Amino acid sequence: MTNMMTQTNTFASLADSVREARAWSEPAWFLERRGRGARHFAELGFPSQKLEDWKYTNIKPVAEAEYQVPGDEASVSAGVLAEFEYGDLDAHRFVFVNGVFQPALSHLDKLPKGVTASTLREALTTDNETFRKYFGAQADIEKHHLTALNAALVQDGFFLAVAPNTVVEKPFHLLFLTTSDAEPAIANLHNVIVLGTSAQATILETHGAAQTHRYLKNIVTEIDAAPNAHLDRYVVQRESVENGWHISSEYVHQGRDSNVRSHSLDFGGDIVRHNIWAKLDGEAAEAVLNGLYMLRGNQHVDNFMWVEHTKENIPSHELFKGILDEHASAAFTGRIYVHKEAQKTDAKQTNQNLLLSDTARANTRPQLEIYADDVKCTHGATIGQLDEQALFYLRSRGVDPIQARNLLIHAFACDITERIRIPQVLDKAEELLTAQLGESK
Amino acid sequence: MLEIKNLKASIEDKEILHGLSLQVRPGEVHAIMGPNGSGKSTLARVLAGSDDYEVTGGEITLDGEDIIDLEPDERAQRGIFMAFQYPVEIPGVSNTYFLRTALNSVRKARGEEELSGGDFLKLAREKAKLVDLDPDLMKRSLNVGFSGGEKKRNEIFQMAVLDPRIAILDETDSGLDIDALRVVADGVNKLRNEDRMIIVVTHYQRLLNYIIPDHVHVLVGGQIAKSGDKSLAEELEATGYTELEREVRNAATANT
Repeated sequence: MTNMMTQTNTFASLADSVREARAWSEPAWFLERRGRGARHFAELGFPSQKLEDWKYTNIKPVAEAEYQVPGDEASVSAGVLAEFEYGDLDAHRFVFVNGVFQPALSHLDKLPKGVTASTLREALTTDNETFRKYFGAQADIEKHHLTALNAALVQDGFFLAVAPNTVVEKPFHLLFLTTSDAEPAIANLHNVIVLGTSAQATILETHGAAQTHRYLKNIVTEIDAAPNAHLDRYVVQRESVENGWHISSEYVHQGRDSNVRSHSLDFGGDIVRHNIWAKLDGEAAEAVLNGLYMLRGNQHVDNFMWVEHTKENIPSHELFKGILDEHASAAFTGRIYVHKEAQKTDAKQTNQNLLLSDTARANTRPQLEIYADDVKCTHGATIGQLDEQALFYLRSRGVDPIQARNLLIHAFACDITERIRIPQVLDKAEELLTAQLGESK
Repeated sequence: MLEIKNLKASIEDKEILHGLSLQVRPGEVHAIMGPNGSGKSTLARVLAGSDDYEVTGGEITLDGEDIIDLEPDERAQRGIFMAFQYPVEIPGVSNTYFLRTALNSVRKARGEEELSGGDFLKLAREKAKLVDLDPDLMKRSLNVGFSGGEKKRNEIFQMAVLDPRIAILDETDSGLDIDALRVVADGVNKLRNEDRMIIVVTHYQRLLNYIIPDHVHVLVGGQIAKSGDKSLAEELEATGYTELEREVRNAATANT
């Protein structure tokens, strides 16, 4: 009880500082939602490991930290920014530092007609109708702890609306950085992505820290893909390995024949949790969720997803592969829920882990809940080590042990990396993987 | 020269080679024959440096250098090459990329310059012709989806590219039909020269009709039971290993 009081008090002062930092006025409906988020979070608090869904992730350090909201004035240098870029990739760029948009570091090229790309604050001040309709439509602030916290404290975010039959060729690169002398810092962001019928877009997210400091990044994303819409998403998570806490909660709603491909690439973070709740709500709506994580030290990454099939002929594919060294740990929970109307479901779920040390750990829980009788659902999980015979084969040809090991690890990861359709992102992923491995013995 | 003296090797505390001695001079081709379980493959894998085996006694020197404590990659860098009986399939590692990495490690160790991608491809294409290897296989993942014959050809192709001082072919012929056998044997013959040493490990005499050895040794119970020239292989083809095994057993009983 004492704990709860402390948490609530800290939280109340946090909410105050977010309000104080707000030089812009928020509409009544938004303020009202903030209030509801605050009330729900006061009841829910941070999740504990006693909850089945949080069994494998101890977020006690995250829950017990006394956060400070950094002021809006922080920024980062061009040099830091360059570290998080992708070669010569040509993209619209939105940079957020400590949860606040940085116009000077961002650029938005000419967009096709019918496309709105802005910040959350701008969407609020212009009272964008699409934004009002979709913001908060899926995010569950009553049940989801971190989503409630986010609702109360949200600072900014990215908003994209693409009109029907409109294709945005150039990717949007969303760069979320933190930097602060006040720690532990907290940043709360909320992104909304709305694709009209047959619309198409690509979004690349990068997460990281510009300096060494303790922080929590709590980010909520809502995606609505109308019939036949196509979205490609890449989330490159490079938070501070020792000090970065990252929790994402994503809500996806897909109409018939839509296709959402999501790739998460986790190299950073001390404690990381990704939640995905996807509702495949139209015939042949297809969801592809891919993930790769390469962790070392005491890093922990937990991928939790819930994919719901509500109509006929829906394919969903989840492939998560992890490489764990030293004391790193990972968890995977993939729940596929097939409604009784969802005949001819084709669901496949795979989680494979490669342990490079005796002290690395992986917990994996693929789960199927099926109420339809004509479905094809498969799931599989493996936890293993590098193949000794393969290592011997490579070494017998002259390849030194580190190179041999790296070859095998890149080969293990290539099921995921080869699905990356942006060459510059693929190159970066390979580079980050090598860098994470490089320090290994 | 390769010199093996009184070599003893075990796997999981079970001794397989009980004091084996063998000398191979530059330019020579030696065939090691023997029944199943006689230690032929153990000898090949011990020479390549597999850590499945423990060398418990004896010496192996290559051109005077003791190699027993060298790692498999260090041995390869000194020119030891073993063609695997069962080449390992490695999904996700391309044949070309792997072989270029290997060749450049070997070249670096020899004090030669590393090859660029273009120069490597030129060399690889030229060597692929030796064993009639489909160039498409070079782009594919290492041995993945290769037929038995293609895997063995790929081994000889790697040998051609790496240009080793000594090549040990571990039952490269087993499982091959006569056409595939000819291609592989042809490839090996083209790689024979006055400096290179070749050890052909085989269960069957047939291969030796195509790769004519200078010396033939028969391994029984982890020791060389008999050595001779190529006529020994023909003799064995007629009599089989059983007779020889009985002789070795009798000799052992007589000694105790």
